[in-house]
Amino acid sequence: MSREYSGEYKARKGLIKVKFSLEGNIIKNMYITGDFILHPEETLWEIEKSLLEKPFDKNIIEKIIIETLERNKARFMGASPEDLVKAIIYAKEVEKK
Amino acid sequence: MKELRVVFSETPDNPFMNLAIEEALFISRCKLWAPDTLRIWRNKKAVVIGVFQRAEQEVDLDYAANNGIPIVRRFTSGGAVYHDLGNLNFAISTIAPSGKEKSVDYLYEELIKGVMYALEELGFNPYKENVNDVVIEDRKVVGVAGSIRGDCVFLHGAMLINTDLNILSRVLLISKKKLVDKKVSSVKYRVTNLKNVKPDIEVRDVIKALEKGFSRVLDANVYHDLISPRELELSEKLYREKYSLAEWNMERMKPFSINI
Repeated sequence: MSREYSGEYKARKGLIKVKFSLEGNIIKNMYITGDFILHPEETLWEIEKSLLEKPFDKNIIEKIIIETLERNKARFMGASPEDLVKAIIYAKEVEKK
Repeated sequence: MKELRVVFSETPDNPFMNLAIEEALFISRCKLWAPDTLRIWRNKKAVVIGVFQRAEQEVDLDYAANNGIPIVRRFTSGGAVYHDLGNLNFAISTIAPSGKEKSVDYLYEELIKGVMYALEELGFNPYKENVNDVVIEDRKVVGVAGSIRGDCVFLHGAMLINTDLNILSRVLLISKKKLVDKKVSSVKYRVTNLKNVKPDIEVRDVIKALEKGFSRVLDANVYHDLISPRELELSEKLYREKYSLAEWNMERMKPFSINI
């Protein structure tokens, strides 16, 4: 059975909103929206795809995000890869409370 | 000296076509069909959302529907904006002299100066805040967004001259987290119109100032031109295959290029 999580995190520039589901500890869906800036834009969909079927673990998520950004020579402006990691991790922590 | 082509192509009653033209002119520059191009244009009534946004999260959909405000998604990131005829849009396409490695920096550090120069020319004292906001007297008057394709760069923005800020604050949903962060209770207290700061400002002067500002940043001479038949054809294709589709505008579909 999968569980849905959602949350948002305010980076210096832009609000990062995330919505995902976990089956056990495995990421089954990942949906990232918001008004943050990322170039090139297609990278966001690559990030979502690369996180699928991966364990929900801060270090793994961070590694995948950074690798996907590097592979696409992509850059956030006014936000950092860590901000996106926080948006994802906090969404689950908030849910727990 | 280089040349800066200025185009006033607009379809204010059809914001979907307006956004199709926006992307077509960028592609045209990148494919070397056209020299550096500044487009100045308006929408009669529309909400334009960023490429990473989902309409239902950003827009009061009932209010938009009841007030005949269409929602269009652009190909650049950043936040949702409300357009009416009191808002002037500009879009510039050029090649970053710094090369593709630094093209993102060029967008937000150099090219954006075209807007700052324009506002200075009009007698304002603008400054840049949070990467892509241009602020006068603590209130945002211009927001810009951009895109890159290698060393080909695109920057566009919306300039509030005399927009209906009541409609703007009704139709755009702003997250509480954002307002708290900006220490205001409504988006209304965060943005302003140039007319509120300088009541005698005229749109034609703003247009001239934008031409001057971008010709300064690009070190180029301005000439006026029409959209070319090839660009118009591409705009129509983009309209048909992308900007007129509900999936594109409402469902945060992945950006895609079309066959030219």
